[in-house]
Amino acid sequence: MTREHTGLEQYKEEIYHCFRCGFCRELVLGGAQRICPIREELGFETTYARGRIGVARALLEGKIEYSDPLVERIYTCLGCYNCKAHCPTKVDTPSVVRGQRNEIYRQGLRRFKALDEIDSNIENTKNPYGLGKKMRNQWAEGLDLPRRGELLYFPGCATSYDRPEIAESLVKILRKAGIEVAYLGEEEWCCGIPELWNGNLATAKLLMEENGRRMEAAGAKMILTSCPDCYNVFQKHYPQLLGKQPFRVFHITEFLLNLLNEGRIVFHEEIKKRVTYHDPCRLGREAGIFEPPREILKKIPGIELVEMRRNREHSWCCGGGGVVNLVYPKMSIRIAKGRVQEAVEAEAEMLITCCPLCYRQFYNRAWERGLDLMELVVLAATAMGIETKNLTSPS
Amino acid sequence: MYQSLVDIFGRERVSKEEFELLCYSRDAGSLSPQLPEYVVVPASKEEIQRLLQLAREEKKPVIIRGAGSSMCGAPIPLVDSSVMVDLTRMRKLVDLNEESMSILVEAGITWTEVIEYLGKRGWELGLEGPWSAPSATVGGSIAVAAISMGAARYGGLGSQILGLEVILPGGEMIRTGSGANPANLMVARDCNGIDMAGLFIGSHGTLGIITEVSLKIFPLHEAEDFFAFSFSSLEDAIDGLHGLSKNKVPYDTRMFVSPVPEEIGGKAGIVSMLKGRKTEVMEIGQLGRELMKTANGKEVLGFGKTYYEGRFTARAEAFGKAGPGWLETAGFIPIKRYPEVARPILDYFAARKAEIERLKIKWSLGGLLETNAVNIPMALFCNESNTEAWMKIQDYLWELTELMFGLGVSPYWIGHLNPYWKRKVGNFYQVYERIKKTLDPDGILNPGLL
Repeated sequence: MTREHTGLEQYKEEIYHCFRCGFCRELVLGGAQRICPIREELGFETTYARGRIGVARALLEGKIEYSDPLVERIYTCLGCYNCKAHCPTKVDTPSVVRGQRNEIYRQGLRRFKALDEIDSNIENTKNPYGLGKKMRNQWAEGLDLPRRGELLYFPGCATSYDRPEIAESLVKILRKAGIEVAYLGEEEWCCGIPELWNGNLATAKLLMEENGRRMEAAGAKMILTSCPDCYNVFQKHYPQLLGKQPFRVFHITEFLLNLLNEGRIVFHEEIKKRVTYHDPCRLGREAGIFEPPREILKKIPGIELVEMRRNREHSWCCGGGGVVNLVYPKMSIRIAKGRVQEAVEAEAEMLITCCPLCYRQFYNRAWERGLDLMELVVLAATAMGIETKNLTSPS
Repeated sequence: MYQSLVDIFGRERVSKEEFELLCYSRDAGSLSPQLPEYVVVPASKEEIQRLLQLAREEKKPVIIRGAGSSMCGAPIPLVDSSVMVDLTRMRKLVDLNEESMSILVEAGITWTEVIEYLGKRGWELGLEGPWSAPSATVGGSIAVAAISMGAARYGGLGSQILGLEVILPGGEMIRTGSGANPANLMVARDCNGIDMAGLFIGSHGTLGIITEVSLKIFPLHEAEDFFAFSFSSLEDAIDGLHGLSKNKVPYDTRMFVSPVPEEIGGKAGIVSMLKGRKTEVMEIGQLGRELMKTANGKEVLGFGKTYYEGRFTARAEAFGKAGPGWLETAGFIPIKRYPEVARPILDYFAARKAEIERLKIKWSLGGLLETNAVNIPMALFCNESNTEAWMKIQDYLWELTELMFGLGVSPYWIGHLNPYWKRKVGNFYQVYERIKKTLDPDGILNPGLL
């Protein structure tokens, strides 16, 4: 286990590297207009990285103890990594926050019903929604996916239960390229990301271990993900927490771009739309994948790609990260509205993302503003003439 | 008091939580923290007026804070039970007046936000704010008279200010210069007899709360040039610096004495940024290089541009991993007298070499040209988790401050260095205190600083 995942003491070096310059508040350089969505909402020092690090230091030095108001404040962090991306000394505030949340959880100080429910659902059903195992598998009915194979697709809970059209589209696109993916089906468990942000590190680790064991048993050597959270779990957290990495991990956008470049799939359906792409924080700033989604979009006939005011490493969070959507839903929605407004200002007709959580955040907000909303993989399938059932876009 | 504050600001913009107060108990420097009793985040001038009325009635100390990115301690309370006012929410661009070549902004806006806004419209500021311009607020920088990017050409921040709007203790609001007349704009500072704006520049929040600032704007420059030179002696570098100043060459110029960046090498280095019209930049670029060569400087190609492009993050990148314990003292001296101050400082550090190495303390000494004077910043860095090192750099700071001020260095910001400075300037502070008593008879604004 690396220091990223353990208690606050392990972050000492990180905490003492904060220079207190405040660039994590509102550095307006090269497109980064404001840094922290939560600070913009709440205003005080402890609502953005410099103050969060100040609090961590005070806890570390024994100057303060966790209190209910402090716990509430610590659970306002979206973990969007915008602070780290713009920090001159690259202080990893989201990891420090996860360390604090883990301490809070272990000390029994967390008091959020919504998060208790997630814990309970995961314990009972191995997914955060508390839905049945069979439902996880519904999207794959009729696709006859093998349960064993070197290339294994891990759709994750949000995709399987909430955005099944992503998984279906992905499988159908790959089949056009002659690629068959294996799938754990009902044996798949939550990847562990909600528990990492909940503070319940032990459960997160258990979920990762068990998924890893099942994937290895299925003969998997390569893991393909479409959800940025699942991608980061297997690409980053799994090796850090478990000290091993038996898999090569891909995000579908990298995979699709390769197939397009190799001519193994082709977009032949014209989609005449002016679109803008929202970088999910987990895929962009956390995983460093900015260009493949854009490259894919540019290859679709008829698509005109326009950028929002804040894009790539400066992108504004959808408001849903770090379990803030569960703990502070109203604030979370206000942030999502702000991001949709940027898409409107960019004069886009369609907002594209490739994260089921961002999609959910934008769903009603896009509809309210008359903006089409589409998941990148589903759009790619459409451009290939693939019909997808369960299409739930408001477009 | 808490309920009265809530009545003014609403519950969501008042805090008395200890964890919050802790984060308002210090600035970017490492001076001893002190907790306020409350923090408030105003969203309007009316709220500030009501707060100051309340503070006067209740005899409650009020400390004003912009971004808290200074190192001088100006926003650190020196007394108990204060109300900390966080002005970063008041950050509107009020009016760009191209006709009168001015921009009116709220005090809580950052320098880079103003610069970016103007740049898109073909304009720029004269001075671009301090090293922390991406987070530093315009009002906060003015309150501490921060030395700014572009000081070689324009001098101090005051040179760019056309007028201020200030709320005085008790809640009364004034506008300075031409803006005092409601029928006019803030387009000229020296009006109505007395330079009232000058009273508040560098006053560290002791006389009033700056709420709006009118700044000069200029057409966006056409061209830029950069140069960097290495010198084999400090004296040669000073000759070069003096030549640049005398011939009004650079927009901005910085001198490195210790450490000198590896890319420059030698005993001292100078980097300059030039900007203006194309022909002008070509001409002064040539002149600047000739002056540097006459002073035995050796040009280092490419470094000037690299340095200026990374100027906002250079310091944090260079010293962040040693820190973030950071203390600094600085002030002006005639250019030619720089070595008289620098030599004893260098000797001071040389005599403590073993201790400095053992405690992993870093330090830097440099120079910033401000028209006809040079600012001599001396900074100390250590890891604050090492208590011995942290205590030691505080000792160094006070000793070196005494040394520098004794040699005539005049600080632009004073902050907590005030006790050291106060003794050196005759009756200056007695007059300042009389002004303070007149404007703030109950001593509610930043008490203890004078």
